[in-house]
Amino acid sequence: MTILSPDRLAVAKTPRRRGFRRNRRFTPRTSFWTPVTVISFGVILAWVVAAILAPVIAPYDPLETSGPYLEAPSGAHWMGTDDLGRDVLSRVIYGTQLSLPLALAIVVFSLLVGGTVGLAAGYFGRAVDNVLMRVADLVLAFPQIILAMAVAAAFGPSVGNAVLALVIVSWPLYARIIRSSVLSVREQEYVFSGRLLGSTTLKSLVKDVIPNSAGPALVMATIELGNAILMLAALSFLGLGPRPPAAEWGAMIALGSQNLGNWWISLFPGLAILTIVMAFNLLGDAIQDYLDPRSRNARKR
Amino acid sequence: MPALLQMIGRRLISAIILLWGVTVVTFALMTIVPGDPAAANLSQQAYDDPELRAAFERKWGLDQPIWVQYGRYIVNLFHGDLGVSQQTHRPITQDLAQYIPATLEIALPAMILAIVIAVALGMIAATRKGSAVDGGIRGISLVGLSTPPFWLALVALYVFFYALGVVPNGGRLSNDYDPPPTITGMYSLDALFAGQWDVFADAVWHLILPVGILTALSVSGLLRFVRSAMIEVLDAEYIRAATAKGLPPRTITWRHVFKAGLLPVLTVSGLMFASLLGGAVLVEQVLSWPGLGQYAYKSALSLDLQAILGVTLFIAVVYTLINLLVDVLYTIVDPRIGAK
Repeated sequence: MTILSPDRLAVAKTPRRRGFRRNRRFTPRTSFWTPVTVISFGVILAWVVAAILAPVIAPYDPLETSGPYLEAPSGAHWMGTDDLGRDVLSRVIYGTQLSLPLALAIVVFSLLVGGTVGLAAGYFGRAVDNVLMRVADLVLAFPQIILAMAVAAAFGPSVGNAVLALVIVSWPLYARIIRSSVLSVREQEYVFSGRLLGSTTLKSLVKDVIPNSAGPALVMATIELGNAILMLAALSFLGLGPRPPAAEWGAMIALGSQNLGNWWISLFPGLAILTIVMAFNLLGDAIQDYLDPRSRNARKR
Repeated sequence: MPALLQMIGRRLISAIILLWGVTVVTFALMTIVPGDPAAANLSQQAYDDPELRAAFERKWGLDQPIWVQYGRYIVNLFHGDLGVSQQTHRPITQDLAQYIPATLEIALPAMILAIVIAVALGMIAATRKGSAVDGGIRGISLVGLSTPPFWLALVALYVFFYALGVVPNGGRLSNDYDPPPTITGMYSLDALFAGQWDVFADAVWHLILPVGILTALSVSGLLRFVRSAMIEVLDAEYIRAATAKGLPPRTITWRHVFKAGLLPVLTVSGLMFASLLGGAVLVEQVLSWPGLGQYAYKSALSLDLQAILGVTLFIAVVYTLINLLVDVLYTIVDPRIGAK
């Protein structure tokens, strides 16, 4: 490349004006494992381990009085005790045994329901699509927490009903995302070829459409795991989740709101939620970036 | 322009269908569920008395078949009557007129502040993409998205009320003051209209914490959209062209990037308002703010069908209107969309 005269070379070499450097072309990361993903993964792993090993690592029984009431954090109770003298640290650790499996259940069920609806809407189109997507729009027209609250209250506060309520409010998100990927996949030649080769509708769906349109929904599921933890905590904060005395993070924070001066009761469960939700968000973003760097802007909440 | 009118007409029709759907879904939901309004509203003793229970059900029309209840509701709806709350024993419209302004008083300023802050921060982050400033702004947004709203409200209450004592302990007014004469239902504005400066100051003082918390919550959600939209624009050919022809960065930033950053704000503002109302439920709970969120919560707990319907209808109307407004604005701001 000798076409560039020295003065032009000099111009080319001067750094571009500050603030406009992002004009350079996007360079895809070659590895998924950046420090951020490693840390996020570590945080999630740590909480999962805490859930599994809770009986071993929790210093006290989460449901039993184990010390004086409302004791500030100390050597015996690292995170203090609540108004019934229960150890906050033990309750935070045991909280994972509720939050993690329930969040997973919410996401899996929403994915199943939303996936089925989105698949049907996208694959069959026309009237099926119209009706199903109008219903999805209807559900999305409500603020999630208000609808979930109404459903959970109507069915009566319990673990199962909280999960049901959150599945009811979150399936439309999956339905939408699956539908839009099915719409593009079903026009692909391999789907046509399959049909021409005699695949039944079911076989075509299972063999060609589902495997090729599940990606974006699975990415969203990772991010939604964090969101499910948040929503579940919100419901139990409102008294519509697991019944007391269950050690649920949202319910623990609600307890602290009645004892404002005893900050430790609600500070630590809140931090627990914050760390794990943040880890899921970071990991979800990273997966999204890694699989499709250009989809970054597409994510809607 | 006829195309625009046509679009508005179409949207209004689908809005009406949506609202009808809301009534059907809410009604269906409240009847198929096992929850019993009589059990939720009567004391145990009254509930065990079959006569009292029958009287309760007769009074609220619960003894009628569901389609009669529904038909009655729809007929009343057309007369502007949303029914009577089983909980407050007042007409729902009256309840809503009291609670909606209280929520708007915190939600509207929060929305405006959030948009201003998110656009400003988003612009700073986008023009310095990859820098420490960008990282910091993204980090704040991430923390905001990962924080339980009620916990944030609680932490803020602890810090600013309990520890520092610079804000009141929730509520809309101090006990020393009576609410100003009702015009808008928003205490701060009403006090202003009535010229009661001390009440105005007190009302605003009570607004600081809830508005601040809601703003913080909305900024984090909005920031992502603004930042990514601006980054996308900065990569566009016309920005490259503008840079190449030697326009000063400031002109580019304000003339092109700023405008482009406003579009996503428009797009998500409907969703954002909905999530603001959702966040308000939790924040109102912590700060004992007697708004729509608390009303919805209490109605849900006592299975007060008419009240829940009233709240959901109101939210659905607002949501639809905002989205309609957004679409109209969109066609004006970006003519390419109207042409389609």
